Amino acid sequence: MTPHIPDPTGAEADDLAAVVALRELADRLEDATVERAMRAGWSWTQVAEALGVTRQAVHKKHHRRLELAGIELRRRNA
Amino acid sequence: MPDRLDDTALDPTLKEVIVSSIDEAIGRGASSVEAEHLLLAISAGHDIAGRTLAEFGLDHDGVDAALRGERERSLRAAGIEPVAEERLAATRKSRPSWGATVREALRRADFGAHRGRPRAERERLAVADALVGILRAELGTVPRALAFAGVDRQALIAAIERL
Repeated sequence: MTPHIPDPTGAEADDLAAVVALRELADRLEDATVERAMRAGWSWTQVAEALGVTRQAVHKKHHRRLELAGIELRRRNA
Repeated sequence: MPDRLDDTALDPTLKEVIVSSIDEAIGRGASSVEAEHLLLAISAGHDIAGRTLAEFGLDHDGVDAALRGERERSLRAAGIEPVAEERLAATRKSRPSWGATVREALRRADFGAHRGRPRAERERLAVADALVGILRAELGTVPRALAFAGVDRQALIAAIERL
């Protein structure tokens, strides 16, 4: 018996693709927004609090990228 | 890194295309290089694989439009309107990771398809073999994008396999 191949544009495939698109959108929005906040002078602690994650988590995820972007990161109360 | 890249005998043209797929991923703010980025890189080439894609309306702009259309429809399925690109502009990681879909595409590619042919011809067709690997996916971003764009994926595979 030929295995059933689901329609790539069917209802279930649409919802699964929505998950992919939402993850991608969330990742890109996070990168863009964290960068804007840090340029505006937010501290790591403030960004972490707004995202509801630990300071360590947000620092680990974005520190290198923002250093590459040449953003002067706040040291005090950071 | 896709397993094929570990292969020292990897055809230089294919290697070039795989490397430019990294730039396609970075340019789109993707955190990983996926099959659609390899498809974009192949569509930007002027070799036989790129020309065949263009005959199906899939030059680089065509693939880009098809992929955007897929993402917009997928977001709408969750009730989300597209977000303006300028709100998503960010400094990117210089090196995205290799995603599962690009690995799978290279696994599906039959690089031995032209075994009997001269080396120069095999090299010329290595990108086409990788393209078939991408197009063989039945589910996910690429088949959805092509279906929404009205591209007959099976006819495209058949055309490439005839090269």
